[in-house]
Amino acid sequence: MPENRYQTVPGGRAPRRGQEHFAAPFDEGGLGAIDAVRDSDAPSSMWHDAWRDMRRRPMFWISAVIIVAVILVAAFPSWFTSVDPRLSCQLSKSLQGPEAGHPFGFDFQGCDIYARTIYGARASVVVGVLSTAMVVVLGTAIGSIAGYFAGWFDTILSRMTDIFFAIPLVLAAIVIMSLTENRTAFTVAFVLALFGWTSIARITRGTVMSVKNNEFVTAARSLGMGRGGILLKHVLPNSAAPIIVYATVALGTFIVAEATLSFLGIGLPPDVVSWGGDIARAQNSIRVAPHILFYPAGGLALTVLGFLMMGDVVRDALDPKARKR
Amino acid sequence: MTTQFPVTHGNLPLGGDGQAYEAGTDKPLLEISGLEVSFTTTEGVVHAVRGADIVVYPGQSVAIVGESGSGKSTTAHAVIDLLPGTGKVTGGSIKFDGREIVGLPRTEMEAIRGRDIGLVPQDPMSNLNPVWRIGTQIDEALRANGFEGSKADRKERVAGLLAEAGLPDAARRARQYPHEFSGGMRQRSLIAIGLAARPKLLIADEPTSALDVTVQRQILDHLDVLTQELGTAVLFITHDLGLAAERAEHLVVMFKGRVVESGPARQILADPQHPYTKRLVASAPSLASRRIQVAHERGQNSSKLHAPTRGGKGSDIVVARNLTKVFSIRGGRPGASTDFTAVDDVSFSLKRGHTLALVGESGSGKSTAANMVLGLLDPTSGAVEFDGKNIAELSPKAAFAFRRRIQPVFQNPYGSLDPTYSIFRSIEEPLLLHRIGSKKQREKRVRELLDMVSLPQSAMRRFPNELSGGQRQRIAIARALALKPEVVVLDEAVSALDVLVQAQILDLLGDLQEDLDLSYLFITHDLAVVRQIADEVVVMQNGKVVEHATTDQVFDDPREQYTRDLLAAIPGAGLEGAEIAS
Repeated sequence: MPENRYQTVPGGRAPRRGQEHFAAPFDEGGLGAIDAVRDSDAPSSMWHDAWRDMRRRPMFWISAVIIVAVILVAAFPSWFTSVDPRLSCQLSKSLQGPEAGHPFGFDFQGCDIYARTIYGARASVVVGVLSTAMVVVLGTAIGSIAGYFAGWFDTILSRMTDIFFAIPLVLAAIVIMSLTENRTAFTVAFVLALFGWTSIARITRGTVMSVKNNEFVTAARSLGMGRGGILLKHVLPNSAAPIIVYATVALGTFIVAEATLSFLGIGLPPDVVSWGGDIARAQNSIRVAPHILFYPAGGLALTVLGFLMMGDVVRDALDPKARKR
Repeated sequence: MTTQFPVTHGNLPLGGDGQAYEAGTDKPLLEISGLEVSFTTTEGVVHAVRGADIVVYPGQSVAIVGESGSGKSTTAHAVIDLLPGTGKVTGGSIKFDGREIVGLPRTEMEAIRGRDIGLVPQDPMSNLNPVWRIGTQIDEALRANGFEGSKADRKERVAGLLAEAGLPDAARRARQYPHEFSGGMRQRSLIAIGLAARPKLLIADEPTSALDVTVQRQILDHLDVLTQELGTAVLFITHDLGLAAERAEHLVVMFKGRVVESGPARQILADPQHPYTKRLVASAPSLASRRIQVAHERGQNSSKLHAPTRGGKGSDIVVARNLTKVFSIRGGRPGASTDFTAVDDVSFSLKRGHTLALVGESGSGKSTAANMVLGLLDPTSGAVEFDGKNIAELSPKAAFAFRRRIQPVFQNPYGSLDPTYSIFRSIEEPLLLHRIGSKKQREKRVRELLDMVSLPQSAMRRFPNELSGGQRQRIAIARALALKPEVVVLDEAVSALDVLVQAQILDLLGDLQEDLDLSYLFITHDLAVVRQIADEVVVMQNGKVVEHATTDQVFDDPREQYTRDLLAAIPGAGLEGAEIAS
């Protein structure tokens, strides 16, 4: 090996100042770390990460407390009041203010407003949860079939979605409900779901279309997994985040829609206690006794606020752009 | 394919003072010393560059080499004060032309940027504004850098710049939009923008990584000619040691934010000192293939260098007969579709225990052919025979059983594992689907597979987002091997990985092939990697087979011009006679 090997560089010059051959001390850098696995920390999936993120937000805890409280009230109203909202009304107490045992006072019929507000939660929560559940099932099914199978399925289902999307939710519900004889929480939820699934279908279609192009889907195909299996096991779980986010927000909207229908007198029948119905009746005596409007409206606002806030928090926690790798 | 681009003839218009910068002076143009750059993240401060020293002389070309996360791009961006996000220079100095530029006011820095230091960015697809004409974008660069002259003068200069960047019919090209340009033409336009104001220093950040290999070479050759004529110093940023050594006289090797070695290019290749550089020199595919070729020409056949060439024995396990795939591309109205032949009458055969490489650039139809072999795509005509049976004629039950015998590994380590599945579930899935073993046996098999791909068994509780790219690729290989297949289709399986990890995975694939008697169908655009792993090579271009021969034949005696172009495009081909440490 020639001795002057280091002196010859292209151009025949010796290295210039600052460009001499230099090698850092060997201990720096940690070459072994190139392919090490961290095995000390707890495993983290997308859901774990989202949960860790949510846990740190005060908004999550505030909305969680509201939602849990509303659900408890809706499920076990008798835990919160011993007064019957319908049978213990005394006309003699019509529009009277608060007194011992009746903290919110009485409405026009002399019924206890506190008891009515407590019992009214059930109608709202039942309609909200039922219609959201139906919307998620219907919208996800239609959206994922359109997105996953594409072609003719997509053309037909997407145009159908567009047609339903063009019909205003409350207007369509008013038309259908006014034709319905036996109105229960289920019929209200069904009618709302029938015209409210379009947004979820569109969201699902878009997400499914992007997820299905991933290589893990091709890998599953080459394992011999059928199309249905891939859709259920790989594509839908990876499309769940935006659906969940939209569902929490939709729940709030459906509660409002139910109250709107009940206010218009075509929602739940008058013998069912509901916030919407109570708000409608309070309207008549709003000038003399505004407090009877305040409580059912407050309950409604608080419940909707709880679900909307939760939707916001979940969206931030699941947003892939806000999350680090 | 081989479009002729005009090359300049030494009469380029020069910048401001009408002088080419004199090369070979002793005053450094750029002097970086003790540079520290850090980013503030939610996890705390990350030190991206730690004490880097780099010197560039006028007219010289210097390359910074490193893998992703080494701080090579961050260093370059610190020079032009374009650090992304929360990045900040926290120490050290950057002197340009004798003047300290760290902490310069924004307006002064803007004056230097473009006028004194030009930049050719990495991705030609996203670095041109799609709504503006090419000419307008170059014109903007001219005006921003103080070019004085009438509209007609500017127009003439724009055309001149484009012509000098090697675009024929420049005046017409200047009126076109970026989407009308190919990737190579866009990169030429970006070079024109970078050189518009005749900077003293041009920073080229992976200027050709996003381009096809043959285009890559043309562009780099052209950039060499241009910068030499203009006397521009070039700071290359690249991950490819072979390319760096070929294009620059001085190399700077970075690892984890530090400069681990620097010095004259050929000296580093011949005698690397730092363990990291040694590994890099040993693993870079372009250098490894060059070393194998040199050894081969000397008549050595070291099994340490590449898998021993297997003899002609062994039956064919996969045979592709006259495969053709025609896609119809939807037109503007129903029925107005046009046919596009992605794969055109392609035949090849893969012997048991052997590796067949399918090589081609983007659009060559290699992946489409692979998908037909996997049975994921039905050929328009022709047939794939697996172990003597046409896979298109298998009964559903036999087709399901066929899946167990051939498995794919894909390119993108971030997309090939379901992020909602734990590693255990990902590897167990194939076993579960094919109803193999009890729960206990499946768990044992998953542990076995993790051992096989050299990952700790504790990794099975992890989720994909916690693993590095190389680790994910190991998991993908483990999943592919779960069903004990006979054939594995590796679709660009190492292309997205860093050099050292790529070498590890190639080693792993070689070992697994020995141990399990696997046959590989290896799809790649990179002939350098082919040299290390394949027994036979099929070169594809525009859907057709151009050349089909053993690896040695292709490298020693390529018959087709296209194959010769591909071979010449392996970086480091210009290192003729250079000594490379092994």
